[in-house]
Amino acid sequence: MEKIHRRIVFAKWFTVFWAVFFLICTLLGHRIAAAYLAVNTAARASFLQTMQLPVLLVLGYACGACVLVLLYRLVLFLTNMENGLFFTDVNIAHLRTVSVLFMAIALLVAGIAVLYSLFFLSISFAAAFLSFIVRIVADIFVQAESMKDELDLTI
Amino acid sequence: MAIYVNLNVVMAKKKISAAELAERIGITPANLSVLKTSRAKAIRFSTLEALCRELDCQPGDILEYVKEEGGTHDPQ
Repeated sequence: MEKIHRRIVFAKWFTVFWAVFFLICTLLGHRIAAAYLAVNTAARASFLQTMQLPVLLVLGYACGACVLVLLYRLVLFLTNMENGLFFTDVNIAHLRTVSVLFMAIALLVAGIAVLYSLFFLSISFAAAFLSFIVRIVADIFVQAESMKDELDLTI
Repeated sequence: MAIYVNLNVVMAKKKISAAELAERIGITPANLSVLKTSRAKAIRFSTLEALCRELDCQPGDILEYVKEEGGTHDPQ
Protein backbone atom coordinates (compact mmCIF):
# COMPACT_ATOMS: atom_id res chain seq x y z
CA MET A 1 0.00 0.00 0.00
CA GLU A 2 2.93 2.30 0.80
CA LYS A 3 4.40 1.72 -2.68
CA ILE A 4 1.07 2.54 -4.32
CA HIS A 5 0.78 5.73 -2.26
CA ARG A 6 4.28 6.81 -3.24
CA ARG A 7 3.52 6.18 -6.93
CA ILE A 8 0.35 8.24 -6.68
CA VAL A 9 2.20 11.12 -4.99
CA PHE A 10 4.98 10.97 -7.61
CA ALA A 11 2.44 10.91 -10.47
CA LYS A 12 0.59 13.86 -8.93
CA TRP A 13 3.69 16.07 -8.64
CA PHE A 14 4.90 14.96 -12.09
CA THR A 15 1.51 16.07 -13.47
CA VAL A 16 1.76 19.40 -11.59
CA PHE A 17 5.22 19.96 -13.11
CA TRP A 18 3.87 19.35 -16.63
CA ALA A 19 0.87 21.58 -15.93
CA VAL A 20 3.17 24.47 -14.95
CA PHE A 21 5.36 23.79 -18.01
CA PHE A 22 2.34 23.81 -20.34
CA LEU A 23 0.99 26.95 -18.72
CA ILE A 24 4.28 28.73 -19.42
CA CYS A 25 4.29 27.41 -23.01
CA THR A 26 0.70 28.56 -23.52
CA LEU A 27 1.41 32.02 -22.17
CA LEU A 28 4.55 32.33 -24.30
CA GLY A 29 3.07 30.47 -27.30
CA HIS A 30 2.94 33.47 -29.58
CA ARG A 31 6.56 34.42 -28.80
CA ILE A 32 7.72 30.84 -29.39
CA ALA A 33 5.95 30.78 -32.77
CA ALA A 34 7.37 34.22 -33.68
CA ALA A 35 10.90 33.15 -32.67
CA TYR A 36 10.58 30.00 -34.80
CA LEU A 37 9.33 31.97 -37.79
CA ALA A 38 12.10 34.59 -37.37
CA VAL A 39 14.70 31.84 -37.68
CA ASN A 40 12.95 29.86 -40.39
CA THR A 41 12.33 32.52 -43.07
CA ALA A 42 11.01 30.06 -45.65
CA ALA A 43 8.31 28.90 -43.24
CA ARG A 44 7.51 32.55 -42.42
CA ALA A 45 6.95 33.42 -46.04
CA SER A 46 4.76 30.36 -46.51
CA PHE A 47 2.71 31.17 -43.42
CA LEU A 48 2.13 34.75 -44.42
CA GLN A 49 1.13 33.76 -47.92
CA THR A 50 -1.45 31.22 -46.88
CA MET A 51 -2.54 32.98 -43.63
CA GLN A 52 -2.04 29.71 -41.80
CA LEU A 53 -0.43 31.39 -38.80
CA PRO A 54 -3.61 32.82 -37.20
CA VAL A 55 -5.44 29.53 -37.67
CA LEU A 56 -2.48 27.59 -36.31
CA LEU A 57 -2.26 29.92 -33.31
CA VAL A 58 -5.97 29.47 -32.56
CA LEU A 59 -5.69 25.69 -32.84
CA GLY A 60 -2.50 25.72 -30.78
CA TYR A 61 -3.99 27.83 -27.99
CA ALA A 62 -7.18 25.72 -27.99
CA CYS A 63 -4.98 22.64 -27.64
CA GLY A 64 -3.05 24.31 -24.84
CA ALA A 65 -6.26 25.17 -22.99
CA CYS A 66 -7.47 21.56 -23.34
CA VAL A 67 -4.14 20.25 -22.05
CA LEU A 68 -4.19 22.60 -19.04
CA VAL A 69 -7.75 21.58 -18.07
CA LEU A 70 -6.83 17.92 -18.61
CA LEU A 71 -3.76 18.19 -16.37
CA TYR A 72 -5.79 20.09 -13.73
CA ARG A 73 -8.42 17.32 -13.65
CA LEU A 74 -5.65 14.72 -13.43
CA VAL A 75 -4.13 16.54 -10.44
CA LEU A 76 -7.55 16.59 -8.73
CA PHE A 77 -7.99 12.88 -9.52
CA LEU A 78 -4.56 12.00 -8.11
CA THR A 79 -5.16 14.18 -5.03
CA ASN A 80 -8.36 12.22 -4.30
CA MET A 81 -6.44 8.95 -4.64
CA GLU A 82 -3.68 10.29 -2.38
CA ASN A 83 -6.38 10.94 0.26
CA GLY A 84 -7.66 7.35 -0.03
CA LEU A 85 -10.74 8.12 -2.16
CA PHE A 86 -10.48 5.71 -5.07
CA PHE A 87 -13.79 4.52 -6.48
CA THR A 88 -16.04 7.57 -6.19
CA ASP A 89 -18.41 9.44 -8.51
CA VAL A 90 -16.06 12.45 -8.52
CA ASN A 91 -13.10 10.38 -9.73
CA ILE A 92 -15.23 8.80 -12.45
CA ALA A 93 -16.29 12.28 -13.60
CA HIS A 94 -12.62 13.35 -13.69
CA LEU A 95 -11.70 10.37 -15.86
CA ARG A 96 -14.61 10.93 -18.25
CA THR A 97 -13.62 14.59 -18.65
CA VAL A 98 -9.99 13.60 -19.29
CA SER A 99 -11.19 11.17 -21.96
CA VAL A 100 -13.27 13.85 -23.70
CA LEU A 101 -10.37 16.32 -23.55
CA PHE A 102 -7.98 13.78 -25.09
CA MET A 103 -10.43 13.36 -27.99
CA ALA A 104 -10.69 17.16 -28.36
CA ILE A 105 -6.89 17.40 -28.45
CA ALA A 106 -6.79 14.63 -31.06
CA LEU A 107 -9.18 16.57 -33.29
CA LEU A 108 -7.34 19.88 -32.83
CA VAL A 109 -3.95 18.32 -33.55
CA ALA A 110 -5.45 16.63 -36.63
CA GLY A 111 -6.38 20.13 -37.80
CA ILE A 112 -2.80 21.28 -37.19
CA ALA A 113 -1.55 18.24 -39.12
CA VAL A 114 -3.68 19.17 -42.14
CA LEU A 115 -2.43 22.77 -42.08
CA TYR A 116 1.21 22.30 -41.18
CA SER A 117 2.72 18.85 -41.22
CA LEU A 118 1.26 15.34 -41.48
CA PHE A 119 3.75 14.31 -38.78
CA PHE A 120 1.27 15.70 -36.23
CA LEU A 121 -1.23 12.99 -37.26
CA SER A 122 0.80 10.54 -35.17
CA ILE A 123 0.24 12.76 -32.11
CA SER A 124 -3.45 12.99 -33.02
CA PHE A 125 -3.76 9.19 -33.22
CA ALA A 126 -1.93 8.80 -29.91
CA ALA A 127 -4.29 11.27 -28.22
CA ALA A 128 -7.35 9.48 -29.69
CA PHE A 129 -5.99 6.14 -28.47
CA LEU A 130 -5.42 7.59 -24.99
CA SER A 131 -8.98 8.90 -25.03
CA PHE A 132 -10.32 5.36 -25.54
CA ILE A 133 -8.01 3.88 -22.92
CA VAL A 134 -8.98 6.46 -20.29
CA ARG A 135 -12.67 5.91 -21.11
CA ILE A 136 -12.25 2.18 -20.52
CA VAL A 137 -10.50 2.92 -17.20
CA ALA A 138 -13.46 5.15 -16.25
CA ASP A 139 -15.86 2.29 -17.02
CA ILE A 140 -13.75 -0.04 -14.88
CA PHE A 141 -13.96 2.51 -12.04
CA VAL A 142 -17.78 2.45 -12.43
CA GLN A 143 -17.76 -1.34 -11.98
CA ALA A 144 -15.39 -1.05 -9.02
CA GLU A 145 -17.62 1.57 -7.39
CA SER A 146 -20.61 -0.73 -7.77
CA MET A 147 -18.66 -3.61 -6.19
CA LYS A 148 -17.48 -1.36 -3.35
CA ASP A 149 -21.07 -0.24 -2.65
CA GLU A 150 -22.16 -3.88 -2.52
CA LEU A 151 -19.33 -4.65 -0.09
CA ASP A 152 -20.14 -1.62 2.05
CA LEU A 153 -23.75 -2.85 2.29
CA THR A 154 -22.70 -6.37 3.32
CA ILE A 155 -23.42 -6.48 7.04
CA MET B 1 -35.26 -6.86 -2.81
CA ALA B 2 -37.49 -9.92 -2.22
CA ILE B 3 -35.84 -10.83 1.10
CA TYR B 4 -37.22 -8.94 4.06
CA VAL B 5 -35.48 -8.70 7.43
CA ASN B 6 -37.99 -8.90 10.29
CA LEU B 7 -35.56 -7.79 12.98
CA ASN B 8 -37.94 -5.22 14.45
CA VAL B 9 -40.51 -7.91 15.25
CA VAL B 10 -38.01 -10.28 16.88
CA MET B 11 -36.33 -7.44 18.79
CA ALA B 12 -39.69 -6.29 20.14
CA LYS B 13 -40.50 -9.84 21.29
CA LYS B 14 -37.15 -10.12 23.06
CA LYS B 15 -37.42 -6.53 24.36
CA ILE B 16 -33.93 -5.54 23.24
CA SER B 17 -32.94 -2.13 21.87
CA ALA B 18 -31.10 -1.54 18.62
CA ALA B 19 -28.07 -0.02 20.34
CA GLU B 20 -27.76 -2.95 22.75
CA LEU B 21 -28.19 -5.56 20.00
CA ALA B 22 -25.62 -3.81 17.78
CA GLU B 23 -23.09 -3.80 20.62
CA ARG B 24 -23.72 -7.47 21.43
CA ILE B 25 -23.25 -8.71 17.88
CA GLY B 26 -20.32 -6.39 17.10
CA ILE B 27 -21.69 -4.17 14.35
CA THR B 28 -22.35 -0.44 14.32
CA PRO B 29 -25.88 0.90 15.01
CA ALA B 30 -25.82 2.38 11.50
CA ASN B 31 -25.19 -1.05 9.96
CA LEU B 32 -27.93 -2.58 12.12
CA SER B 33 -30.30 0.08 10.84
CA VAL B 34 -29.30 -0.78 7.25
CA LEU B 35 -30.09 -4.43 8.04
CA LYS B 36 -33.44 -3.67 9.73
CA THR B 37 -34.66 -1.55 6.83
CA SER B 38 -33.77 -4.28 4.27
CA ARG B 39 -31.27 -2.00 2.54
CA ALA B 40 -28.40 -4.44 3.00
CA LYS B 41 -27.15 -6.19 -0.14
CA ALA B 42 -25.82 -9.23 1.74
CA ILE B 43 -25.36 -10.58 5.24
CA ARG B 44 -22.41 -12.60 6.50
CA PHE B 45 -23.10 -15.97 8.12
CA SER B 46 -21.13 -14.80 11.16
CA THR B 47 -23.51 -11.83 11.57
CA LEU B 48 -26.57 -14.05 11.09
CA GLU B 49 -25.18 -16.50 13.64
CA ALA B 50 -24.60 -13.68 16.15
CA LEU B 51 -28.16 -12.38 15.60
CA CYS B 52 -29.71 -15.82 16.14
CA ARG B 53 -27.56 -16.35 19.25
CA GLU B 54 -28.50 -13.00 20.85
CA LEU B 55 -32.17 -13.14 19.85
CA ASP B 56 -32.50 -16.89 20.55
CA CYS B 57 -34.22 -17.55 17.23
CA GLN B 58 -33.81 -19.26 13.86
CA PRO B 59 -32.66 -17.56 10.62
CA GLY B 60 -36.15 -18.11 9.24
CA ASP B 61 -37.57 -15.97 12.06
CA ILE B 62 -35.44 -13.03 10.89
CA LEU B 63 -35.44 -13.51 7.10
CA GLU B 64 -38.58 -13.73 4.99
CA TYR B 65 -38.87 -14.29 1.25
CA VAL B 66 -41.72 -12.50 -0.53
CA LYS B 67 -42.51 -13.14 -4.20
CA GLU B 68 -42.06 -9.93 -6.21
CA GLU B 69 -45.21 -10.16 -8.38
CA GLY B 70 -48.09 -8.82 -6.28
CA GLY B 71 -46.83 -10.52 -3.14
CA THR B 72 -47.79 -8.98 0.17
CA HIS B 73 -45.34 -8.53 2.98
CA ASP B 74 -47.04 -9.48 6.23
CA PRO B 75 -44.79 -8.70 9.16
CA GLN B 76 -47.17 -10.69 11.43
